[in-house]
Amino acid sequence: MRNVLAVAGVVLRCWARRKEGYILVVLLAAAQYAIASMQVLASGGPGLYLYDVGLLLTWFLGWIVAIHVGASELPGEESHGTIFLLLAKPLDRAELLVGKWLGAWTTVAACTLAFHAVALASALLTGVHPPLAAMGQMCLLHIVSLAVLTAMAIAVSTRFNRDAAVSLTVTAVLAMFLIVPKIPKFIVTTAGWRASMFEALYYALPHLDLFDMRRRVLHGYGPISGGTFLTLVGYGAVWAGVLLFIAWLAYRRRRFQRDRLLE
Amino acid sequence: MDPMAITFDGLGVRFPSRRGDVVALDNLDISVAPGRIFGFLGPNGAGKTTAIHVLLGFLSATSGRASVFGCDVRETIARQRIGYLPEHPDVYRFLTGREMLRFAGRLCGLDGAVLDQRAEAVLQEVDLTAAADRRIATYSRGMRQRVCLAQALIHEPDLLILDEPTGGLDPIGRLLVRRIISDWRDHGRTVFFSSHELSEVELVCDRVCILARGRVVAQGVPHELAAPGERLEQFFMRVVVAEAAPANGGR
Repeated sequence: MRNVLAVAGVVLRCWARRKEGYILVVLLAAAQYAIASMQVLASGGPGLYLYDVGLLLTWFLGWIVAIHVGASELPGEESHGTIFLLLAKPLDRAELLVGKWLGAWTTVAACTLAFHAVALASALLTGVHPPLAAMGQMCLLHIVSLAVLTAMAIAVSTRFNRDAAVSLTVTAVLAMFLIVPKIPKFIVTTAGWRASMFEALYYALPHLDLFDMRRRVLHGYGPISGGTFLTLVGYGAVWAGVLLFIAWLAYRRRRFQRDRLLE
Repeated sequence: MDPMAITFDGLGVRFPSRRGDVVALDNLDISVAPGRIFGFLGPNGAGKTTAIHVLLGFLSATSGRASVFGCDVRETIARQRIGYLPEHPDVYRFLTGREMLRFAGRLCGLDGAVLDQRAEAVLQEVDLTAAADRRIATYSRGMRQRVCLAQALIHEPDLLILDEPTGGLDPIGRLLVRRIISDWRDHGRTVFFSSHELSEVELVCDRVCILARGRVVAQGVPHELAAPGERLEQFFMRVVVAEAAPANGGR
C-alpha cells in the first residue's frame, strides 16, 4: 500500500503543477459567463437552463480529463524514460498500475469538483437553488463513473500509445453511453440467438448512464435511496477493479527496451 | 557465505523480427563476486544494456537465468538490494530534487526521519544540497545525472548498477562519480559498471568483462588481460576487432 500511495502522490503532484486542469476550470467559468450574458435562453427559467448547460459541460469535461489523464500516465512514463527508474525499484507492476489509477482518479476528482463548483456558482448567481442532497449524490456518482473511465483509459494505454489510447477510450465510452442504454430496443425487435447475444452484451458492458443524475437534480427530485446509491458505488468499484485487472494481465509480462519505446 | 552478487547462467535474449530473430545475448555466463567493482564493456550494440535490463526485470530472458544475490531477477524482492543509474538521466521534471529522492526512498521502504536523513546525506554526496528544492526541469544535464545517481544510492543498496554513469558529466562530475564508486566498494558493496570510458574502467574496476555481438569475448582482471605494456583500450580494440573479423569476412 505504501508503494501505491507513493506512486499516486507523484501523479497528483505532477498534474497539480501542470496547467491543463486550471485552464479547463477557467474555460468552463468563461463559457458559463458567456452563456449567461448572451440572454439567449428561455425566459421561463434561464438560470435552470444555464445550470443544465453547465452540468452537461461538467459531465463532458470530466470525461475529457479522466481519459486524458488516465491514457497519458503509462505512455508518459515510457516516452520520458522514467519507467526504467520506477521498475528498477522493488515496485510490483500491479502496485504501479493501482498507484497510477489512484493518482489519476484523485486528480480527475479534484478537477470535477471544481467544474461542479463553477456550474453551481453560476446557477446560484442566477437564482437557481438545486436540491443539495441530490446534487451531492450526483457529484459523487459522477466521480465514481470517472473512476471506471480512468481505469479503462489506463487499461487501454498498457498496449497502445497515448493518442491511440485516447481515441479508443473515447470511442468505447461514447458507445457505452449512447448505445448500451438502447440495447433493450434491439432485444425486443429480434429473437433467438440474436436476442440472447444482445441481452448478454447488455449485462456484460458497463452502464455509464446509471451514474447520470443530472435530470433528477434539474427537475428538483429528491436524492436516491442510500441502498441504491451504495449499489451504484459498488457497481463502479467492481468495474474499476475488473478494468485494472485486465490492465495488469496486459502489463505484467510486458518487455521494456529503451530504443524501442523511444522510436 | 553470501551468494554471488550477480549470476548470468547461459543467458540468452532474442528479439523477434520480420527477418528472423535478432540475437541480443547469446549464452552469457558471468558471475560477479560481492564487494567488487565489475566493468561491463563492449561496443555499441554489444548487448550491455540488454543484459542490465534483464537484471532489472525490464526484459525477460529467452533462455538461461539471471539472479541477484541468489534471488531470481523476475522476483520484485530481488530489486530491494539494487540501486540503478540508467544511461539517460530521465527523472520527473515537475518534482524538485528532494521530492524525487523522497519518492525513490519510499519505494525502497524508507520512511520518516530515516528517509529525511538519507535524502539529505545523498544530496550532500552528489553535491546538490543547494539545488535540492528547485524543480528538476531547471537542472542542467549533469545535475539531472547526479540526482539520478542520488536516487540509486538512497536506500544504500548492496549492488549498484551503473549504465554509462559519467556520460554528460564534466571532469568534476566524473571525479565525484569515481569517488562514490570507490567509497561504495570500500563499504563492501558491489558495483556493476557499464562504460565506454576505458581509461576510467581501468582506474576503478577489479574485474572486467568484454562483450561483443552478445557474447563474452574476454573476462578477467584488467591488467592481467592486457599484454605487458598494453593499455586496456588497445586490448579492447584487439578482441573486439578479432570478434568482428570472421563475421565481416563471411559476408
